[in-house]
Amino acid sequence: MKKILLLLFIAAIVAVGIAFYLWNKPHRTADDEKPFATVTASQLFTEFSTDEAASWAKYKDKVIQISGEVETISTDASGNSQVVMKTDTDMSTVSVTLMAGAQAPQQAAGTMIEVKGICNGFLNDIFGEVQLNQGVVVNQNK
Amino acid sequence: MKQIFFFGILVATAFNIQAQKFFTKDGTIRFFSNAKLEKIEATNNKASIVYDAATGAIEIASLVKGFIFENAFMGEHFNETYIESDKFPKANFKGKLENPGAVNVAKPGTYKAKVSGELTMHGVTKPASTEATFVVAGGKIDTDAKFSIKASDFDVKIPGDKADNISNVIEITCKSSLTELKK
Repeated sequence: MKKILLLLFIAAIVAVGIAFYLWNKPHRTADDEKPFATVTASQLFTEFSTDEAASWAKYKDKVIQISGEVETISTDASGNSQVVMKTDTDMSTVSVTLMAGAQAPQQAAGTMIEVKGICNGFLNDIFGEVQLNQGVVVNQNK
Repeated sequence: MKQIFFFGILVATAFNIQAQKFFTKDGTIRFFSNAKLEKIEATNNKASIVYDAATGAIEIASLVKGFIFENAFMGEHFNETYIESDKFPKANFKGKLENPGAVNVAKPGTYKAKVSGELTMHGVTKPASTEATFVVAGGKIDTDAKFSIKASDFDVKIPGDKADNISNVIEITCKSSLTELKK
């Protein structure tokens, strides 16, 4: 009888532990993951605009490392930094929202940057933009 | 018609000339579920929005995976179990001002306008409408709109044992600051 109670007690502790872990599980970020692919902003944009379905299957939820020319660096409504890179196509961009707490890179529009982030897909209903988030800066003024 | 499906959009306008369009790639959409036991909120700051001041047409587009939850575990559930973002990666609203003249982009001020159209998410399209606020100032238009939708209308099933945690009525807020599209 004691044994059963002990087992139940251990099971309860484990269950609470799992619940606690899940509840506090941190957001997945690109910080400690190796990139699935390393590309330029223009290459990535071209891939998505050429074959969106195949690119979605290939890149969704993957960490991608991207180099490109800075269009803007800004802070979004949630206080996270955002790096937007130009592509060869007019009005079309690749944006990487950095993970919470990441410092905004101090560099001007027109300079080169390399960042990595998790791919959320291709928003092309209005303007073309490949969007990533939970990102980090890999190289500044590259 | 008791269930008005709202979603939304906003619009705004700035200065004169017909065929004038205003846009942003950084619109904020917020989901809010206020259930008995739990409040759940998620935010996406990367909505694309375009407003055509001449016709009153408004379009909002967003990527579902761009919604960030306070709690990572909730985000996983939202994407995998409820909204199935692998299959339905986008959520959109297409609509227009019921009266395009309700917002004068040439005159700074605060305008209220009825917006109606169609909201698409989870592969389902439903009518949605709301009253949106447009603040025209300094060549920009700040927009603010709130929609109330039912998850069940979009085939999002909330299991009975989760009814106290996730509300079937979801509030969607959309805020943006639109600037003139120069092309």
